[in-house]
Amino acid sequence: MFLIKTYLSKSAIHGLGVFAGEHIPKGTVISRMAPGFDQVWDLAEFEALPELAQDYIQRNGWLNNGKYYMNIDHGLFTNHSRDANVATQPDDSEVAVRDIAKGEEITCNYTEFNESFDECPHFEEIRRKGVG
Amino acid sequence: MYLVKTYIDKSGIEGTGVFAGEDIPKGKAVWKLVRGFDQVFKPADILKLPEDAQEYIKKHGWLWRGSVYMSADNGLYTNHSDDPNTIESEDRETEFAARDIKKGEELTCNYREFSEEFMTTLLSMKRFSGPGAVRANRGDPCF
Repeated sequence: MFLIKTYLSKSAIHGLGVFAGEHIPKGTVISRMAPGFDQVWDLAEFEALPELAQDYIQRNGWLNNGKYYMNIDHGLFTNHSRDANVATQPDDSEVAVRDIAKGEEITCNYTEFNESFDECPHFEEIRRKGVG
Repeated sequence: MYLVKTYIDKSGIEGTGVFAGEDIPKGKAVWKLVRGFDQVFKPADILKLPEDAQEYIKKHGWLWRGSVYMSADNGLYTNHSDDPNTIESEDRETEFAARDIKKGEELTCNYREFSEEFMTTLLSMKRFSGPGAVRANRGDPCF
């Protein structure tokens, strides 16, 4: 879940995006997984869900070490950028890698944390544009 | 979980809203509670969560028969209308189109059909009273 003020708005990258609702200094931890709020499924639980739910999780969540994770707040809408302004830590928390101005879109690099990125058809457009 | 195509956009009602991404005929099931996907909380567990998470649940969830429910998808952002175009089943687990809904029309429900208990019970909890409480169940600030 986001630990800073955010809002949703139209993104120049893709559909809706998440925007900083306040100035965020470099180094700020901007989000952290909140157990019991953000969602986690092991593969068996994931496969037991209806196809539509699985599809949604693949689009909006991520696969890490055999488990699917998904935020339930604005984190659902964080877009990918190869020049992301937040970096994902090993514990799935995210840190601002530079100062982020109020009103700037918050972006992360999906390749840093999503093991399904290379195969998942939902990310084909991003892969085509290049993620280097 | 929405069973029809939807998208989120700026709402004429308040903040963010959910819009039909396809034409929906009257009577069609548009949303269904999917256990294991949509969230089901015990109120006591909510009070153990970080305060911001509690605020978010207060705004986007609803109480029904002792549990608090929250959609995990665009259902999070469905706005209230006094003349909604969806209607809940008696068990509150399915929503149907109350009339024909055109692609691009905002999907709305009547919070009072399922939220009155949520409002009165949760707002009486210590953490859910105070200045923020009046914002409960309002659209998400956006755009």
